[in-house]
Amino acid sequence: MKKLLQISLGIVTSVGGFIETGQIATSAQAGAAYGFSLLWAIAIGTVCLIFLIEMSGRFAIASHHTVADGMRERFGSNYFLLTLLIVSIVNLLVLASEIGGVTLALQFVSGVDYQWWALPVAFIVWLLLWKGTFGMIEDGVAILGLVALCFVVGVFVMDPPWLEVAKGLVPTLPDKQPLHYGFIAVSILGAVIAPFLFLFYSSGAIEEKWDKSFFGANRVISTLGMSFGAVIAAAILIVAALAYPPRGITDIEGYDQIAPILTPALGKWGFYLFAASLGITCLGAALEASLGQAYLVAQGFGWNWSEDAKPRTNPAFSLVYTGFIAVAFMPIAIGVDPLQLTIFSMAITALALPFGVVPFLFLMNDRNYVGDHGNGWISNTAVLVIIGLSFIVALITIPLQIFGG
Amino acid sequence: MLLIRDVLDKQMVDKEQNRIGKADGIVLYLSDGNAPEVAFIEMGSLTLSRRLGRRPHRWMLWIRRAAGAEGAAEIFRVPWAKVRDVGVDIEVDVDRRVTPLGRCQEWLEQHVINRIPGGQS
Repeated sequence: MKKLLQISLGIVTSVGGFIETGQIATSAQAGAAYGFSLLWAIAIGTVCLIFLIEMSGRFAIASHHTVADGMRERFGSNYFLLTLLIVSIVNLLVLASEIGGVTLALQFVSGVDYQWWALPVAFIVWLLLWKGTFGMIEDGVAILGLVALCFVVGVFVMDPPWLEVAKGLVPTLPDKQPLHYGFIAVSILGAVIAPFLFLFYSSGAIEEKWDKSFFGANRVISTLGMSFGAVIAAAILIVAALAYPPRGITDIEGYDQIAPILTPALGKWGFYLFAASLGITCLGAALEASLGQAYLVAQGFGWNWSEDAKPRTNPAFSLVYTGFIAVAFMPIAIGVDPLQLTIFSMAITALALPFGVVPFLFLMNDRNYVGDHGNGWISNTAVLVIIGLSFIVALITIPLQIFGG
Repeated sequence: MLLIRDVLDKQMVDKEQNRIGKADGIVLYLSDGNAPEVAFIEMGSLTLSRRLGRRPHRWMLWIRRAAGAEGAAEIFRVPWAKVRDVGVDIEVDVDRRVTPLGRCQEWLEQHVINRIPGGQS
């Protein structure tokens, strides 16, 4: 019974980490520009994410190490420092984007420009971590985050042509703008496979002392939780595909165009539901990204880390997220466009993935760590192919997207 | 036991299982005619930066001097005799307040945390 509760909580929590500004922005852009035809990117990204999340849980159960511990131990301090640098940059971009998402949600309901919200939002994120117990924050945000189910409701209200939707699950090449199409595809992959999710998941497994009896639960939580999140991401794409092209919008240039995404389906309420979904999910992701960064640093250097570490008992840990938030709110405060920042961050994430994922695959095949619970060839191949392809496409399209306008 | 695989970069804990840092370096003792012996485990930013290269090491020394750290060039070493167990973690018989991490935490608490409102609770 207790395990059942843990499983359902795990599933709800994964939704909290899954849907955030990255998903909302990339799915909305994809739907507006290419209809249903990029749904496959969400599906493939989710398959890869399920494999990776399941692995990080299995790694924690079998080896009693978090992923960061394992990386440091197996590959030495120098490689760890390089990975730390890369993941920190990605996390920083992601956190800045999430703060941007919350500020936009506040702009939509208050009318006050998003820039002015950057400092208050950063302060609230910090205060929740500084004062709150993390278990409470996590469950609270996860449950409130269920408001994002409004996108699924929106899909059913608009009743899409289901056959066309199903066709979108098959990868196809576009008939126009192949570079932009590729760029959006890798941004979706980057948004789905966010690095802080693993840091978080394996830390949770260690902290909750998952033993060998949890291999099954781990499989269920990772599969159902991530699929649940993917359904919402797909719903955003479908709603966008139904809402924008009929109005002649195919290129989304700012979040103010995304804000009315639900109004064709849900009317005036759609606007507020969108703002609530954006604000709550981004707040949750901002908390997870900040804490994920503190976990990574603490685990890599062997400090005490805990969800409920109080600043006084663990100053270094608290100061990592404090400094991290203090840097991350700046881009939004000086007026960087949140949508551009988000899309760019997600593409960079896709580019950075191999640096963390490839060594992680080595760990997952090392009997010294996982014993008999190593990877099979299917998961190894699937993850390598998806990560490798998205890396190549990101490498080609990011420079072209930046310099080609 | 393999030193690099089973000791280097492993988590160190004290007797109460508090995490006190990583095994950042290993010092061997060489003497004529005898096999090399493990003498110490080194811990701290100086060892870590030295593994990265000469320049990072010099920067780290400079940073530590600038921060006014006591014994800025001193490397923290745990004698191998204090190692009680090598498993998932390395358990050592050391007071965690004297480790580089413990001293750093204390410094941060006094100089930073106590100056932030609400830090004491």
